Amino acid sequence: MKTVQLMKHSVLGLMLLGGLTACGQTHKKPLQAEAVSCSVREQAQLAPAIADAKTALSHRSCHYQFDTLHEQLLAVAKNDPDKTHNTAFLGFYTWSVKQGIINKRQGKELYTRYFKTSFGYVLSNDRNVCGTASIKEEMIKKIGAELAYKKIGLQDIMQDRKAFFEAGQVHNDLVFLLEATLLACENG
Amino acid sequence: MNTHQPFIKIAFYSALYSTVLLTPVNATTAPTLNLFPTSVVANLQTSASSAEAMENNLEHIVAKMENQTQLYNDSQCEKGMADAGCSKIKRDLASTYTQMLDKLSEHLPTMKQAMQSTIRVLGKNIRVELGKKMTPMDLENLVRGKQPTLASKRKLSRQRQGRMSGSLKKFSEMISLSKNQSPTQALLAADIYADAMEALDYVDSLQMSIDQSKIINSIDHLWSGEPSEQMMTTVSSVKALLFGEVETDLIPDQMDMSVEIKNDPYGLDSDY
Repeated sequence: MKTVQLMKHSVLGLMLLGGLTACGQTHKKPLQAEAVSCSVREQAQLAPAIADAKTALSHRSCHYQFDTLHEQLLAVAKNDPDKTHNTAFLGFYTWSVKQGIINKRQGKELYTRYFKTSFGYVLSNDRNVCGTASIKEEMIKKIGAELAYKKIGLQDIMQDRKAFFEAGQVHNDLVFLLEATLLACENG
Repeated sequence: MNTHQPFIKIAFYSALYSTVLLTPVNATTAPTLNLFPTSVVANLQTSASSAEAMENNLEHIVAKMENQTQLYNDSQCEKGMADAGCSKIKRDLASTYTQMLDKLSEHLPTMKQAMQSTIRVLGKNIRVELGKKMTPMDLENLVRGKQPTLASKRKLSRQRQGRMSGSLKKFSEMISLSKNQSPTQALLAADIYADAMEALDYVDSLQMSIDQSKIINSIDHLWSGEPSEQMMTTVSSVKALLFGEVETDLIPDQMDMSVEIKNDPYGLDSDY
C-alpha cells in the first residue's frame, strides 16, 4: 500500500515539474528573438533593393513597415530608372499579396496608382456623376494627386513620357468632363 | 405545325439571350450617347452667323478705338490738357464708342437667344446622358476611348482660341464628324456647353455696359469723351467675346515603350 502511495506521489511530482519546465520554455522564446532590421540597405539598383525588402518583410514584425519599405523602393528606382521597372514592382506587389502582407485590392491599387494611366480606383462607381456634386472638390483633388503618383512611376521610374502624357491627357479630359457635367447637373 | 414550334422557340430564345448577353458588353465599350439634337446644330449655325456679322462690323471699329485711345495717350490729353486737339480726339472717341455700342445692341439679342437655347438643350442632354446615366468611372472609360488627336488642354473657365464665328462653325462641323464616336461627342458637348456659358457671361456683361453707357451718354455733361475704365472693360469684353485669345498646346516627343506584363497571377495589372 505504501509503495503504491509513494509511486503516486512520485508521478504527481514529475508531472508538476514537467509542467513548470514547459511553462518556463514558452516564456523564454520571445526573449531569445533577434532584432530585425525593417528597412532596405542603401542600394544603387532596384533588384537587390527588392530582395532586401522581401527579406525584411519575411519577418512578421516588419509587415507594418510595408509602406516605408515601398517608399524606399520607389526612391531607389527613381535613381535607377528603367522601362521594365513596372514589371519588377508588379512582382513585388504580387509577392506581398501572396505573403498576406497586403491584400489583392491594395496590390492592384498600388500598381494602378504608379504604373498605369487610369485613375479607376479613386473614382466613385456606386453613384452617378450628379450624385457626386457634394464631393466634387475632394474628387478632383484626388485625381490630381494620382497624376503626381503617376509622374513618379511612369515618368521618373520608367521614363515613359508617352504613357505619362497619356495619363495627363486622361486627367485633363476627365476633370473637364466632370466639371462640365456637374455644372449641367447644378443648372438643371 | 407542331414540329416547327420547338425550332421557333429555340430561335426566339437564342435571339433573346444573344440580345440580353451581348448588349451590356457593347454598351460598356461603346455607349450610345444622345447629346446633339438638330436644334443644337441649328442654334450653333445661328450663333456663328451672328458672330460673323458682329466681327465684320466691329473689327474696324475696335481698331479705330484703339488708335484713338493711343493718340489720346500720346497727346497727353489725360493730364488735363484742354486744347482743341484733345477736345476733338475726345469727341471722336465718344463717337466711335457710341457706334460700337449701337452695333453691339443690334447683334447681341440674337446671339444671346441662340446661346441660351444651346445651353438649355445641351445642358439637359449632358445632365441626363452623362450626369444621371454615368458614374465618374464610366466617364473615365469614355475619355479613354477618345481619339488621341483631339486637343486635351481643356479648362472650364478658359479663353477660347481664335474668332468666335470660327469656333462655332468648327463645332458644327465636328458634331457631324463625331457621330457614332461617343468619347469625342461627350468632350465636344462639354466644350460647346462651356464655351456657350462663357459667351453668355460676356454677352450679359456687355449688355450691362451698354445700358450703363446709354444712361451716362443721355446725361450729356457727365461724360466728355475721355477713355473711362468702363469703356476699356467693354472694349476688352468685345475683343474676348469675338476674337478670343491664342494658346498653344505642348506635344511631347513620341517614344517607343510598350512593356509586356507577365507573371501577374492576381490580375493586379487588369483594369478596374
